[in-house]
Amino acid sequence: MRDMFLARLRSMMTCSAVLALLVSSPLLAQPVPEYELKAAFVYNFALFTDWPADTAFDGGTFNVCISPSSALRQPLATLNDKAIKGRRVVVRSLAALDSLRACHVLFVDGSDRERWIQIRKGIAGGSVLTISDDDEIGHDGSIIALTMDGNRMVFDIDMRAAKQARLTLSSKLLRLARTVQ
Amino acid sequence: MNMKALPHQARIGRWMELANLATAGAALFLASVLLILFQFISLRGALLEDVSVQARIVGENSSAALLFRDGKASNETLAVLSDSPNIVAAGIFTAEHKILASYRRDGVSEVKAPSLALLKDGHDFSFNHLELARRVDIDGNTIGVVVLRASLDQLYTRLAGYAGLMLAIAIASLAIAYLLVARMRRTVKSAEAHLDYLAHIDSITGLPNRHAFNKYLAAALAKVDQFGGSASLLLIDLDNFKIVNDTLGHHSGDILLKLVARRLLECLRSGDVICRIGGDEFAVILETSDGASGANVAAKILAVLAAPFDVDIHEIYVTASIGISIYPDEAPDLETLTRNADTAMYQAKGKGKNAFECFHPELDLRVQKRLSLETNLRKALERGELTVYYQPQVSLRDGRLAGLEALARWKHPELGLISPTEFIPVAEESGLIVPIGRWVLRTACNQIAAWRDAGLGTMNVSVNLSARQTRDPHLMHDILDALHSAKVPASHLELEITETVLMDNVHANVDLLKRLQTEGIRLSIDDFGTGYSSMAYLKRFPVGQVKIDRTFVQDIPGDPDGEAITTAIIAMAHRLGLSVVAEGVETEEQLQFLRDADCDIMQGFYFAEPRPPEQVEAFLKTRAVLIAPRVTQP
Repeated sequence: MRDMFLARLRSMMTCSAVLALLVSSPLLAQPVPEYELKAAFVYNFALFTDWPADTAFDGGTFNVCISPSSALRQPLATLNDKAIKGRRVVVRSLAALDSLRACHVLFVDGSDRERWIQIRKGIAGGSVLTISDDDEIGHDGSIIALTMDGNRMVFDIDMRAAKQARLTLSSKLLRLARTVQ
Repeated sequence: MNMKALPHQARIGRWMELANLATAGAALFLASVLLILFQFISLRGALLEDVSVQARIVGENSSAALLFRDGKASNETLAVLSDSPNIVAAGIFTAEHKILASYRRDGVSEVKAPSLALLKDGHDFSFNHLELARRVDIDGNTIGVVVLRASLDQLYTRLAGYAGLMLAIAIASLAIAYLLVARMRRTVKSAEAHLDYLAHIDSITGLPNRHAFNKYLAAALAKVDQFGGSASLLLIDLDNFKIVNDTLGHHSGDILLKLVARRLLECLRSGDVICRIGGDEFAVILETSDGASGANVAAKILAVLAAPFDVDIHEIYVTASIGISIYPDEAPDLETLTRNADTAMYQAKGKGKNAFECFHPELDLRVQKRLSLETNLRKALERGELTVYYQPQVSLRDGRLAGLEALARWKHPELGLISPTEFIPVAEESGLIVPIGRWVLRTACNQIAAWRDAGLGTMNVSVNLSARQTRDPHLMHDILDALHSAKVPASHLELEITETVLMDNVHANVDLLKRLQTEGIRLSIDDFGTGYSSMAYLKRFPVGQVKIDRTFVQDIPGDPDGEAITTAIIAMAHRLGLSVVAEGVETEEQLQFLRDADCDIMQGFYFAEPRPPEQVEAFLKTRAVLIAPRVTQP
């Protein structure tokens, strides 16, 4: 299971290097493929989210975690060295589940369905912004759920989950959400 | 009254008013323009602030939408701007200047992507628009631009309203200021007019006073200088006003002046000016082209004054002496004109009053002669040109010498003997009579002593006292000093005071006479019958003798009035216990009449003219009977 995850991650890395050249900015300069758009959305979500004051930023970095096998892993890597809340972004591959609490943003997709329950346990009590583009996970405890609505990217927000994670989502963000629960 | 304001003064006043108003208007206009400019700048500043704040709000509210490319949400944000009165168009652009959302009112063009200049300056004012661009930043990164376009219409509307208000306020305040100033000016003007009236009008008669007279005269002369023709000046002096004032009181005097002024006004033409320039002096300025009218007017004035004036219960007769002088024929300037009229007026008075006299150069000569006489007289005392002559007085009782009257004579080294009738009035007027009188007194006293010491016996000498001398506070001292230094008893000195002088100031003179009498000096009333003696006063004066005026003696015998008056005076004086002296006896007939009338003493050329002291000594030595003594009735 773990090996498979790492293998997928490795294969994605070559892919994402190419994509990184295409995505020059998270601010969506031109029409971009779906994954790049999603990566940009992840970054934008972080911009409109406030973490509790007691949140730990070990090493002064802002950690964005993603499963090594995720298709978004490569596009998301472009966020490395960008800044969020004045901290350098580090995109981490989430191979093991022991370091979940160090994540500030966690992107999960369909490949993470099996261990979603474990992940939820791992991050319970911590302040981790969970974002998912998987329909199942997205409506089962993930704070933000990304969906394609036709050719538009839309998102839903689970305020209960955000409250549990002690995260404050900006009203600007809430206004843009398709649904807020 | 001829108190007209000059027309050009009124015109200047009106100009000044308009100029003041224009100045105030200009100042208000400038202030208004500056205030409107200030208002424009501040309104513009406020609009910029307002639009800038709105841009920021829009930017803040659309940051998320910009990031997520949410045009719908952005349009919703912009739609709110429809409630903003100024903003007519707005747009949200991405960092790449692609339009994300746009808003515009009907009939307004869309905003375009901001130019570099607009981005740099932040805003741009055109004539009727303000365009403002504001970056939308998040986390230090620019994610888009908000562009707003505001119309300046509302600003201009407000400014127009403000300007209108300013204009209304300016007009209202100008109107109020104008009214206030006009009112103040009216008050000041009426106060000035009142002051002017007080300064130029005599309060008793309502005629212009001396001050105004000078102005009028100067104006009349200036007019003659400019337009030719001539001007006559009439100086009118009431002859006996002083008596009215003294006997009936000032109140009656004032009433009389009022009545006189009214009559004078009645007989003048409207263009003539009449002023009251002194107590009983009036002046008339005639703008005539011929000299004859001056005399006509003077004759008319004398005629209208002839009728009696009713003052209270009294009927008063007033006469006047008028002097006329004409400019420029007889006088080249104002001072000479006035002086000439004055000279002519005195001449008229000298002629016996109630007359007018036109000035002629001869008059001036007379005045000059009088002046030189005065100058000479001043030196005469020092140079010893004056001498005292003595005229014998003969007693009708025993036919012998009763006394001598001391009379001053002046022998000028070049002009010869100058008549007392010529120099005594000059001495009186110039005040020289006081030192001259003092000298005569002293000389007479010394003469009495000299004759006594020469063994010629004591002789009574009478000395005349002039009006001036009676007012001299040192008189008493001078008389006693003269008597003491000559060691002559006071009873040898007799002082003669004319009836006119005595009546002039009754109270003071009664006082003086009593003091003289206390010292033992004998007193005599000179020129008796010519003044206005009241019998009551005659009793009060401590006099021992009256001298019948020579004019009555001249008329006797032959003139029934003269005879009656002389007889009456003698009888009255005797009843009052006074002795009577007749002056100017020149004929045997006069002597006879006076003897029959029981006169006491006589004096005149019939016996002897005034003589120098040496020639009088003969009388003193012989003490002969000069006339047959009175036949005493058994």
